[in-house]
Amino acid sequence: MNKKTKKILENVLYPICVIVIIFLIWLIFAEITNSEFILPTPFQTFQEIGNLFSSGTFWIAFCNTLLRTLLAFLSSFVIAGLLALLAFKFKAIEKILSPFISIIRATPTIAVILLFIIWTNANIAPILVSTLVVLPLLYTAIFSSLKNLDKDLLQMCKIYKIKNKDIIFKVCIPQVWASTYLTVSSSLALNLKLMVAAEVLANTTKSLGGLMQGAKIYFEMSELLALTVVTVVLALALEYFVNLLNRPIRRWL
Amino acid sequence: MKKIFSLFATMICFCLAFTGCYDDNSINVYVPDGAPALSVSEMLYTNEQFNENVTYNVVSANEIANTILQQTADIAIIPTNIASKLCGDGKTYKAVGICTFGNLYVIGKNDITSLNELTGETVGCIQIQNVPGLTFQYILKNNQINYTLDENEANANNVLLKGIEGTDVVAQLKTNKISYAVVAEPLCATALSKFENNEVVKVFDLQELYGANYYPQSLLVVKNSLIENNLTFVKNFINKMQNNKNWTNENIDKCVEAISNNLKTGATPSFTNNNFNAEVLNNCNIGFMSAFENKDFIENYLSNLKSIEENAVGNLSSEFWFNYE
Repeated sequence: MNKKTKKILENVLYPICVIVIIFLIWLIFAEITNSEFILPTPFQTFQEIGNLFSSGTFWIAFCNTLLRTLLAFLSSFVIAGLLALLAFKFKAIEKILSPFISIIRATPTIAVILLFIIWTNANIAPILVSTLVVLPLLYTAIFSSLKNLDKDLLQMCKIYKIKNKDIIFKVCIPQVWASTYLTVSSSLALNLKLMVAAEVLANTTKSLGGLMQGAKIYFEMSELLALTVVTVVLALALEYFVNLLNRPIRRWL
Repeated sequence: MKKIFSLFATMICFCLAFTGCYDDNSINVYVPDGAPALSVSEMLYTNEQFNENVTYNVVSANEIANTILQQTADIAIIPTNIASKLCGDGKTYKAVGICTFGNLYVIGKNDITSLNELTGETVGCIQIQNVPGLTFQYILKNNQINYTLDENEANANNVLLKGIEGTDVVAQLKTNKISYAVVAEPLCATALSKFENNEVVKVFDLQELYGANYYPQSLLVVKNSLIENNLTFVKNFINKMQNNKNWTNENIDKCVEAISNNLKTGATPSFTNNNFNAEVLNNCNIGFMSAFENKDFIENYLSNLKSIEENAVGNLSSEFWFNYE
């Protein structure tokens, strides 16, 4: 088997086989339960996806959820980056932040969601929840990559009197990005999952979570599964998008 | 090979061990905690068996639909719109009677007299996407009062409806996140008791606002197989339900015990000795009417709910109605 054929097998055929197996298992269980209120068939679900795509309500909800996810992620990223930088520069700040980060990481997500729903409103709560829950992940990833910067390289930059701006943009940031981009892509997908969960609990109107809640309440299982499939595909797309950006970013850096 | 065989044998034994737990011969009655459970409280208290093997189960409102979906219930009381969605084709369950006739009230900080005075205010509503919320939205719509469920669209000319959990009503009123709340008894009485000096009062009776003074809030549904195989039992059950209201009026002190004794262990009961009295019982609006004799009334109510949210109501077949007379 030549290299090209092997690559096609690994990247295309194997994933397709897995997806086909999943659908077959789904179809078998749907036939066994024989109730669209418990488990609709894949065909019913895909038909419902078609109905969703032709609905303006769905697209408004989709865009709102996506925008909230991106806003929450960017907030998380900026705050985590700033805190990691301060912690890297000042030992005292690292010591102060450490217990806070641990507490945020250990707090049950559902408790955070419920508290923010009470303290704020249905539109803001999901954004705050997603920002807060992803913050420790990004902070830890950025902080540890800062700590693992190549000290010899930095010393060499000092000796050769390289400008600080060039040290930051041409030495530090590329190294930090190289070791954190995987965490960034998985955090973005996690952000989306948290956003949808928070929207369900907060009854956020015009959101994917709100549509899921409505579908569940009215026993529209096809719609609920269709929205789940759309959310999964969106999460995978966001991860893929970050991975796709990785090469041009690294080349640019 | 030996390992595979022993694993397989263990799995078979494991499955067989649980077959004894399911008693195929018992008649399982499921009712949600709250007003629907009150409508069968005499049977719950006396554990009425009707010379059969009857198991009574009081479950949370969230669980009742599963008893129909999984067909574990032979008899159940479920919200009318959910009955239309899950049983409307009449193929597995039939509607026998109306058990509760509306127990929803609006409470709030200002003692207002007109729905128009809600304009510009935020009204919290339990189960905003189900009977309570849909009924209230219908009433607002019927009275030409603008409302929105989107906080971004709230303004001085409309009512902002906000879905809230029953457990959040008091906190949201106390922190002024909402000015009014649509709640069901006994939550209404419980919430009012948390405020002193009439800080929060009952302002509207949704049943009166609906127009007919009552609406078919929940239905008694019976499995077709039970009707076919044991019609005598079904008729005896209905007979007891028809007399239940008299029993509850005469035995108010026994109602709480009747319901809590049949609740799942560890579940928080809706009714306690602190929040249940004659007034609460009256406000729960329990009774019994034939669904078949009142199908136009039920269909009209469902049609009103459907005008608010199409997905909330299912299609009803003529097979859905059971005439027990």
